[in-house]
Amino acid sequence: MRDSGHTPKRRLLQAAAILLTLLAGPLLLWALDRQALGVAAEAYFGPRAVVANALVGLGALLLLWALTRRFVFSALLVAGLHWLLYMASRMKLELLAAPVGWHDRFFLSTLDRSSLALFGSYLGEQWHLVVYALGAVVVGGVVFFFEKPSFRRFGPMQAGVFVAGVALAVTLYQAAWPWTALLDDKKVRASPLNLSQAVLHTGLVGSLAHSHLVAKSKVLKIDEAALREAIAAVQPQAPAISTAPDRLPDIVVVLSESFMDPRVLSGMDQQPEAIPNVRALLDGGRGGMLMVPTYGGGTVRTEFEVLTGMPLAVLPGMDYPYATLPAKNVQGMASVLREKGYDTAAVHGNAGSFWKRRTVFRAMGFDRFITDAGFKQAGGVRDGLWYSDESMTERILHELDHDDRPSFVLAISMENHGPYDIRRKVRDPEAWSATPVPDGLEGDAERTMRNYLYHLGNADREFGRLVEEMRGRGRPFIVAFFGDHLPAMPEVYEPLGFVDGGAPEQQRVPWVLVSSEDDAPLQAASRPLHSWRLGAEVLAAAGVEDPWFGFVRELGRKAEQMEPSPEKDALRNGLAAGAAARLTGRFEEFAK
Amino acid sequence: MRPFTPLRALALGATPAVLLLGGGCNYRGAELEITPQVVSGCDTPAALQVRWDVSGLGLKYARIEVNNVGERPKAWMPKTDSRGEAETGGWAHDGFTITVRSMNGVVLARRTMEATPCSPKQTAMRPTPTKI
Repeated sequence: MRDSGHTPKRRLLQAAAILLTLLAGPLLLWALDRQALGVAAEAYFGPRAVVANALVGLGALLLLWALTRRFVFSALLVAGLHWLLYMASRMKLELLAAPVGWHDRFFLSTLDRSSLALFGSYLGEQWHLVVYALGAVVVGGVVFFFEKPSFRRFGPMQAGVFVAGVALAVTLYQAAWPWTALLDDKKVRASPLNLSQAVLHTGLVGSLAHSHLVAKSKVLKIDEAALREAIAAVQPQAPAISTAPDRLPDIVVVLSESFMDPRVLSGMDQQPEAIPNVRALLDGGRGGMLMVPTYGGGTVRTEFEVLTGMPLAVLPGMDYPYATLPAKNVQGMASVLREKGYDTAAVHGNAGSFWKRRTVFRAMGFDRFITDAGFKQAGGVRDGLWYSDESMTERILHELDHDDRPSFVLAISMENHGPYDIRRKVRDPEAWSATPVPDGLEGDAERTMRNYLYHLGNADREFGRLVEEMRGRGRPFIVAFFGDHLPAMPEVYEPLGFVDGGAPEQQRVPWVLVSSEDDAPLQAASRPLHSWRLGAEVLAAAGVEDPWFGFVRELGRKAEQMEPSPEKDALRNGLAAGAAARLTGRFEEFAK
Repeated sequence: MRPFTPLRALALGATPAVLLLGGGCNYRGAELEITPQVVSGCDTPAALQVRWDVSGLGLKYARIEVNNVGERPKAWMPKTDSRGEAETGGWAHDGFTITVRSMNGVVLARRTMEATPCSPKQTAMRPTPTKI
């Protein structure tokens, strides 16, 4: 006869086993955490860190246990989800040099065909993962079937476990004790420049919970004194060129996915020129190097800075601004140009839901957003995994053609998006084979570099074609073209190394600006430019006046001349206050 | 035969896993020391004195890798004697990790440097970190 499971001895053993699991679980999780981060098991080991890292899982376990009345099933499910999280973080760390962050939840909330396709392309043909997943479902089902309920339905035990789980969930959501005590800023020591630091001090799950606490307690404060001081210090002026409304130029801004100057890599100066069109402009002083706030991914970070003129560094808790912005009215280049009478359009050969772009672009003042569906409808073609830059150029020219008003088109390319290390079907296999790759790269590294350089060459060629087509239209125009970040190609960077000896995330990307009216060297090209300054420089070149972008332009130009000093800090504080004022629609009050 | 009891299986499975993973993943007989183990955040990047000895495992050579947290490990000593001592350059930030591997890639020992927070008083004495 089977044990009824309700004898005192049986209950005692059951309680002991549950207690043992509850004690062992956090330690096991901590060990997994250290392993995934690649540090020693004893690094920052301590009761606070271990508990802080395990508390989210404990809350989830209690809730599941209360609902299913099955402890083992709940524990296995929570453990499985943690394992998945750690595997994803480890993969992201290897590819992008950053662990999973709180902002990454937006991938899950906007999970659709395109995001699955993007993730799938990084996973490749790893069918064993499907087998593991099916195996996990079978094991879960078997355990659920065989495991006897730990307590009777609607009894005091179930109520107690449920209340404990809810209490943990609610206090976490509300950013209250015990979370605030365990995940105090001074203990977590998070760094906006390096997500791994918070993980090091408090574990991955603890760092995610901490990021939620920070976001929850974030308040946009306008330091009015700092803003007035900065405005007085920079004295924003109208651009040197002021264009009459009927001669406003068409403006095209091209964010070229992962576009870099290959010559930042050692030995690449011995290779044939990969980006002749951009190089000619760089050599002519019509562009320079751009300092961007991301590496290997996170296009929206650079995109946001260029479009709004706001540095993410002064907006705490807004790591991925499209996800956390109040998305009703986001002023930036599009809204400014729309007010001046421009037709505004954005072009991107991927799903519009990705990074919530469709919602945010509407709030930013874009009249239209042409996405992968528009590319498909217009007969767009893919080169490799994604829609080609050639198809993107066609979409840009089409958007410029259909209106008699001046046009502003933002184009975000896809062709040179990763992954780079897999075999792909390219449109011009002969050109792919003939793409020179430096010595010292073999196997995956060689294929990665060849894939990258092939698409990089296409991006440069299409940029050249776009400029030529625009010259042929006989209308004044501005074209700005820039890379959003370096591609994640550690297998290439490691053997080659960078000319300046720096790390990949410290490298800069090129930007260039072509004007139909002017080919003189640009003042802004003389030093590396922060991406938050680029939009202001584009508007200045177009002769478009705007108080915010005028402030950003002059502040940027003044700050770049200054050595670190209290005066420079005052400008930074003024910029932070200005960004807060801009986001709350109050900047004009101060600018007057 | 006793019936399948998931709870017992979980408890029995968790215990050795904790002992295995919580034990630091260092091989018995593999020694690795870094000095200092803990530095002030004001003194980073720091140089470390490293001493290793994996000869007790019967190995003649070892490979030593270093990395700051979040970065890919780089070969500091691609092939070195199984015991020795050396000083790193001034590269070590909080979380700097040294890993001793066998020549076929098995992790034998790992140590991570920790950094205490740099106090505001000490921070004030450092150059202003303005980045705009």
